[in-house]
Amino acid sequence: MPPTPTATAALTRNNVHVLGNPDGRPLVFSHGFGCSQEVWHNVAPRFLDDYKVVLFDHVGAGGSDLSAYDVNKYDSLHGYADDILEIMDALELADAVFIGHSVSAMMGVLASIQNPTRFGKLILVGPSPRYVDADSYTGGFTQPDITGLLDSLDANYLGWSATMAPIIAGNADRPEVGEELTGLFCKSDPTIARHFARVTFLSDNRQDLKRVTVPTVVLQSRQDVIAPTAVGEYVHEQIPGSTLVMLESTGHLPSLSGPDELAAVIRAQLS
Amino acid sequence: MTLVAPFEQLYRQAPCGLFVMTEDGVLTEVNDTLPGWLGYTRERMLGSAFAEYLDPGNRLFYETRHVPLLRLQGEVREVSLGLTRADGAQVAVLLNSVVASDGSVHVAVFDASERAEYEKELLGARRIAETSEIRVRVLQASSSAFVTSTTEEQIASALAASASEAFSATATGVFLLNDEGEFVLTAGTQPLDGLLPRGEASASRAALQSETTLTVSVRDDEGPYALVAEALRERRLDSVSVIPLLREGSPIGVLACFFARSREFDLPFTDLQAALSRLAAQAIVRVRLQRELERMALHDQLTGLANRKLLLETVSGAIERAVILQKPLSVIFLDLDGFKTINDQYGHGAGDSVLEQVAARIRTAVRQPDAVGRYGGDEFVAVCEDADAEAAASIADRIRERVAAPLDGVPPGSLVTASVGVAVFTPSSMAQPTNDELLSIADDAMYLSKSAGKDRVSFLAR
Repeated sequence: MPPTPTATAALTRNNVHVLGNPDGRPLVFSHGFGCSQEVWHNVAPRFLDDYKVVLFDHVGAGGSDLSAYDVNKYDSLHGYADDILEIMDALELADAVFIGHSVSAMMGVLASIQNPTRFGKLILVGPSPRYVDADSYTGGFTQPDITGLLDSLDANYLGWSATMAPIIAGNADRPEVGEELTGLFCKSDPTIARHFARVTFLSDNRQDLKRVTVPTVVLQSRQDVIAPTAVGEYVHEQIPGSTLVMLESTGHLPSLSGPDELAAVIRAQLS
Repeated sequence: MTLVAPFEQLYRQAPCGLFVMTEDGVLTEVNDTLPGWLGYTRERMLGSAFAEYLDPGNRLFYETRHVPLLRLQGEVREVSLGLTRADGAQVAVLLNSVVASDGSVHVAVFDASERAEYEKELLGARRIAETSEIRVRVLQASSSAFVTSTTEEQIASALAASASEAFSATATGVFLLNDEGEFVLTAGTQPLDGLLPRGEASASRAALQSETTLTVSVRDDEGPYALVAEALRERRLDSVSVIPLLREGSPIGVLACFFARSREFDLPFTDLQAALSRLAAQAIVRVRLQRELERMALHDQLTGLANRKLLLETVSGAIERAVILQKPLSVIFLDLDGFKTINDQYGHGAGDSVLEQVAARIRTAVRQPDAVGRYGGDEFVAVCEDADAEAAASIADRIRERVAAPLDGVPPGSLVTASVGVAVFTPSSMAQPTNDELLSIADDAMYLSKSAGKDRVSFLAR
């Protein structure tokens, strides 16, 4: 069945790029809060020879269509999860490996519960089903912490949309991903970023974890304050049959702080 | 005296904090200014992680925004952050960071306390203004939509639209109570449709009863709203808030807002909901009163039947339909016999009672779609579409029989009967009459019955 017009519209809306080997197994890279598909800059290119690499921006980030931002739709992660399913439908992906960083990990979880047919595997990098502590659960943050983040967003309002001249000179060591991917530098609409921050950090998707049926791998880096190790372990315990892999990289962004290791670990999980 | 090179002195005591950190954020060099501001020694800061000086809110921003931007862009300017001092206080700073050729990060820190304080005040004022601006805009838009609405459906639609905008609800539904006391979806959507047992509206009823907003979430899977919680989960929703629509204590319906993630239902939220639902309830009551007034203008107050004005309109419409559909139309005209005597002997109260009883009897004697009206005094008319002479005869005779049966409050001696006249209009064989003409033929037929001895049915065809 050919993709519907609404499905192909998703490709423009989400600034979708399909690179690499057209006959390869699809890898869908999904970025988290605060950035855009650029966050995969040093990881995705390593799969171009043998995989079909799919990169995209969530609506509100990077080169996505800002006019598609519907407050009601994107007031929960389900709105983003629906977009992921539409992209996968439009590209008619089969047995896809979804690699979601941070909040995108939960979007992938929700999308796979909604319709698991196109998913072959979920790779969750630094996932957290709930950032705010509750009862006996430790997410790592309190409600006032999230308010503090929103204050920081407001204080840095200009920094979000201000476009800076590309400063990095001679990025010869960077594998080419494609001209169109550079220069956006996590551009984001500040008002949308604010709403996205609320949705990201105030969501509670703990209940959804046990409903995952797709084979899942949790990648946990060390000293990740945004998604601490205890949270990664919780996700692993809750998702039936999942595996937990501890990374040597530190911090919340292994795709930038340890791209070599992250790419190698992902590749190992694919074989 | 040790001679310190001027440039080194400038670095150590620069009017801004300067430090170098590794790619992973560990401080390898820092001047004297920054430790001075933060109340630490230089030695304490060397080897520590920059993130240590950030509280969780600032750290969230730093890790999710500043770090990726710096790594991808190589430089980030004028980032506003709060650093935590040794004594726990916050220092507002602006940060300029640049990645050096060896991969280390060079950072300049500027004290921005006063500026940040000022911006914070501005921001606070802006947020309050924004909140009240949304409130004012939503209330203004909805109230002007309510004022121009002429039906309950329009008001319900305007309410659903306003609530959806004001609360970013995933779905919004307005449910109004019908005459049977059931909730009917009048505008918006009901995402839980098909998941709840028919007629299940415990949450809506509870909200109306308590006269306050009620919220149910997927986490309420034990207790009175377990079914609702289950349905919410099935539809990928987190919670629903149910706001009663009440006017002077009497229930009208509810507004339900469905949310796909957990929400904090704070005071501005509930205030705005309450104001919206008050306005909507007011508007619905106004429309209902208007409808009641219209009904009164076209109906006889004593019997509730159509009045002469409405009857004339009904007959006109029936004639047109008869012509278009080529179906016969019968108009039955009746005048009570013996009514004047009862009115004169037993008073108007008894007379009114007779008229009410007769009206009720005529209504049960005609067919379901037939229209019945009070033409004046003790004259009644029944309009029977698609009724030829034969059908009309049986209806007219049924009316005559039922009127003649004993009436409550009328002594056995004073008999009330009906003189009935029927006009039959057959479009295929006759010219089209006006409503007045057709009624006057029926009236003439009624007089035939009267003069022939009352309590009978006579026919005249045009």
